[in-house]
Amino acid sequence: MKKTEFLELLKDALEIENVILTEETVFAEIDGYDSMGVMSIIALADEHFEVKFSSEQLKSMTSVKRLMELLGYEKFED
Amino acid sequence: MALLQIDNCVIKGISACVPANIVDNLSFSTSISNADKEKIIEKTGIKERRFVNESQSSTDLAYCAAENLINSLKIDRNSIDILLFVSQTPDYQIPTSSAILQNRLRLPNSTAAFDINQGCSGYVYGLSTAFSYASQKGINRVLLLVAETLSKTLSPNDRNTSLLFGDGASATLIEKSETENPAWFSLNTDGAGENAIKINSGGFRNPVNESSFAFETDSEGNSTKKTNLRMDGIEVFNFTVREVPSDIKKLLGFAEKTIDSVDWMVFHQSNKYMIDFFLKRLKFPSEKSPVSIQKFGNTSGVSIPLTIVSELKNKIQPKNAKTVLCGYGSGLSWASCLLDLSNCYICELSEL
Repeated sequence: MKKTEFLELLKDALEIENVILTEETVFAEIDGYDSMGVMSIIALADEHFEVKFSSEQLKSMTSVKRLMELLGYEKFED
Repeated sequence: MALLQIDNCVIKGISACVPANIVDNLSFSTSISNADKEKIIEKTGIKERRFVNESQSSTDLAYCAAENLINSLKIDRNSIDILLFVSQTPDYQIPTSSAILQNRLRLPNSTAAFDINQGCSGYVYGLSTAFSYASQKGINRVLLLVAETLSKTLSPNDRNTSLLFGDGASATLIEKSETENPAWFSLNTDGAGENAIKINSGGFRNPVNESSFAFETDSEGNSTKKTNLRMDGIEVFNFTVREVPSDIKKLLGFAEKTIDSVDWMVFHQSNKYMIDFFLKRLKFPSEKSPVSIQKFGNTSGVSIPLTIVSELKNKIQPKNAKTVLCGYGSGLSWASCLLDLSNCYICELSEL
């Protein structure tokens, strides 16, 4: 998947507008990001990547970059 | 591995009872802001719930459901061999609530009665126990009661719990059947998640003391006491995504049935977002998965039979009665079963 495509998908899942997501984005810094957002990411990972997280992985998932690593960074292209 | 098939048993009837007191989530008194309330209501689908009053308990609700079922089916009380009571909000630490109910329901002293401490997976666990007994020589009828008053465990100022849980009870009569009528169960546990849904104090590891009643505030501003039910919603959702759809596939594989042959799928009513997710992942049509969460919230182990009573009365016919039930929650614990509800009488919902 193209990185830009993924960032769009993520933005839709998080139901956020007016925010530019990049690999460097830290989730906690997104205005309005809360537990519902985390649930959306868990659902997205399972649905689109068939990736399920352990509790430890979930706790480490603080940034877009880290999320992409957990999903498998090799799956993304520029 | 707890995958099992139990033959020669049938569910004869199901009833449910909820408190008459309706709690509307939008007007619920809490420190949660109105904007947040609306967001939670939208995602979870929970508009209102039922709360008991101070004097009502789990056995009161269970008694109401049981009387309704016994009277509707017109069965002889002396024919009930076993009484099972599933709850995590029993009347007392000691004695077992099932004994109180045996007496109140005027069941004979030859009735075996015991409690099962299980949460949201409790109905399926309870059914597996009831079916196991009913399939044995000598046992003919098992009355399975599930009741919860989780409202009594909640802090009003905790966005993880205070708008989600409600009270209720159900009664199910399981009977030996002449026909094979197989039922399949998958029962599972992951105690590594013991902290995901927990009441920390009030048991015997952490008996109640003065500090149990001090409010503690977390980073999101949720305020709870150690005696309140606390839930890590994200941890729970993550666990269900990991385990629930695959458990249903495992169950159907074990039963050698395809998902297309399933007529109804009744999930524990945890939240609408979660249920929609499971249905999407299983590619199962949502019109065949009834939802009652908007009216009753999350009533733990009660939610599956409550949903059957509230949503499936007059809908289950002998030709479309193959039903998957699936519960998941504290423990962590999850369980699913596939059974035929052809001969099941569904009572009108009663209120107390």
